[in-house]
Amino acid sequence: MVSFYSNFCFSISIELKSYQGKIVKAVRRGWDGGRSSRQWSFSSAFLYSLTVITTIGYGHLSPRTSWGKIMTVFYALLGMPLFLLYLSNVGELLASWFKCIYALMCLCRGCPGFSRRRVVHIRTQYETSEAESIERPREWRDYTDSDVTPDYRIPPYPPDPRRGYMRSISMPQPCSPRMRPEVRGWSEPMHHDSPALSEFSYVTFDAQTITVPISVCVAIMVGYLMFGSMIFGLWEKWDKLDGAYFCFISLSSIGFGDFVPGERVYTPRIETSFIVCSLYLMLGMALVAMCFNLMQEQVIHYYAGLKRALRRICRCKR
Amino acid sequence: MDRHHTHSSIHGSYRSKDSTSTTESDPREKIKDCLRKFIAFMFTQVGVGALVVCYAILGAASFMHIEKDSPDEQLENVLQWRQNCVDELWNITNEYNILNHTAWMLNSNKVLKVFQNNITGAIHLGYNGRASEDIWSFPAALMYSLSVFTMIGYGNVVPKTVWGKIGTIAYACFGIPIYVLYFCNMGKVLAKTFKWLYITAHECSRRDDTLLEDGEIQAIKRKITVPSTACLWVISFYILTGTIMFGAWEKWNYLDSTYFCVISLCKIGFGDFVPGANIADSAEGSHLKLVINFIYVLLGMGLVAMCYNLMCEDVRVKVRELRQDLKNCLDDITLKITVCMNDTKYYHQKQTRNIK
Repeated sequence: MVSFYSNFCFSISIELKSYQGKIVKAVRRGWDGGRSSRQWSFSSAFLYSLTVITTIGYGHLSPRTSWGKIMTVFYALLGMPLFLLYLSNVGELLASWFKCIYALMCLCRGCPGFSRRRVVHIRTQYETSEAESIERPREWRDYTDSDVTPDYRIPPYPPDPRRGYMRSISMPQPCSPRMRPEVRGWSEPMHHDSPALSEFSYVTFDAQTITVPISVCVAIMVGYLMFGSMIFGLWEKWDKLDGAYFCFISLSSIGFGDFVPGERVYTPRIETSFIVCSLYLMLGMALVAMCFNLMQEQVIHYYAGLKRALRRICRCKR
Repeated sequence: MDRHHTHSSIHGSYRSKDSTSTTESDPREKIKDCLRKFIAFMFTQVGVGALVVCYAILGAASFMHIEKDSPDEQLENVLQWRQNCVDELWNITNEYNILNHTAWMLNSNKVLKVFQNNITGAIHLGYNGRASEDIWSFPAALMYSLSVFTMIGYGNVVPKTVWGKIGTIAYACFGIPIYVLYFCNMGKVLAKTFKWLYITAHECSRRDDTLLEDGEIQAIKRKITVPSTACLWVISFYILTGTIMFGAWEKWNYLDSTYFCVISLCKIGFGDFVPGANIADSAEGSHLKLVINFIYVLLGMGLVAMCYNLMCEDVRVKVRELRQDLKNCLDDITLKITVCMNDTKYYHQKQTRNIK
């Protein structure tokens, strides 16, 4: 009986092993094993088409019919430029909004009490940085010597094409055209800035030329990642690291597809989880585009400063 | 002396000792030249391409090291389930023996169903019938790191350990900018080359017809932009090559391999078709295929960048021309309308005069 049992075990486990191999192959081919996350409902199809045009491509769902494949190819070719357009436009818009919000809230330009001190502080900063630039045009220096203030003709920053647009967003216009030259000239001496100047003029100026520091952008991205990992961790019972990993892989448009919402735990609200995931992705992509927009500006700013400093060093020592 | 110091500090050269030698200008100039050449080389496509390949190899080695000896709990679970299944089958056989066939069938079916569900669950959790040593071979790890920093993300091989995941995030953070640099550089260089080729071919074919008007040829030559159809031809030729190659190796049909090529080059990367991943048994062949797929994808990305560059230029020119045409057209129309109005006015005046 014992020998019979071991014989039985041996042959049965060989059989089972081949059976298991067949199951693995079948799942690889696209058999879903009765999982709901791998079926074509409307919300999952929505997520699928989003993963196509954002080039994430989780691969949790993939077309099996030949027409599905052909359509996917054409859909991707049409949809990707469209999505890029969306990203660039929305990124720019969000960046301009964020700049305004940053100027108003974080630098406290809106509240009247702080603004004067802030402005004075920043003004001195700019003054020192501006003093480093040796490459002043001749007429500029002449003007400063003659103590007129027409240096608004050479603004310290390259003229921004969005400037007019920005001003229209940040609402409070400078009260009169007469005031503008005084407001624009950063490197003018302190006594020029008369107490009669309203705070509003400072607000408009800051919102236009302010550059948001890189650390803030990185903090926003990390915060968005953490937020996503928290939400998905709550819904899908992933741990924190897995959630953050999923969010990162999705937002960087890598999309391995080893973690997909609605994959592990069967929930009746799988539809909503797909929709939330798509919304998260759309918003996140736009946010990343915004951060890149802001960071690019800041890097260009740094680069210009570095160039100026280098030039100054060369000039001075030689 | 002062100048020496400034020089070495500015350029950050390590060999400041050399620059203080007796012959003043020569070594300094040499170092300057060397540095300049080195930097220029690093920003050519060769330097950036080498950087990308080195980065991929580095990533492959480190991921292989991290992931290779990770204990796979799914593998043990599957073994356990199989053992349980065998035992239960034995019990059923003992109970009913062969005398009650239908009852035996019913019960063993039930047991097998449980087993099957367990296995599918395990597959969804990442089990694929292979141990981690087999999965994380060097070419597969190379393919993995490529799919991370090109943002393709096939997902046929994924990290399972905590450190693997953290490493992937860090690797992507540094790898994606390098890849973007490669993409831009490669696109520019290839676009220049292709444009030059196109213009030479164009000239050669045109020379016979319009040999006489020399001045006009010169004028035309400067304005030539590569039409987007040429780019599309290049891309479709590349995809066709890939289709035939992968179709022959992997025994996919042509639709599937075209689909794979497009999905890869568009950086979507579903991972339902990956070369060398489907067949577990032929290890050596699949390794070679993975490496060739690596080269195919990298080159293809460069080509896509090239086409993007050229098509942007073409579209810009076309839009400008269209705008010019539209303006001309509008001018024409307004001119015609005014002329017409004048005519009618004139006609009316004539009529009235006639009536009078």
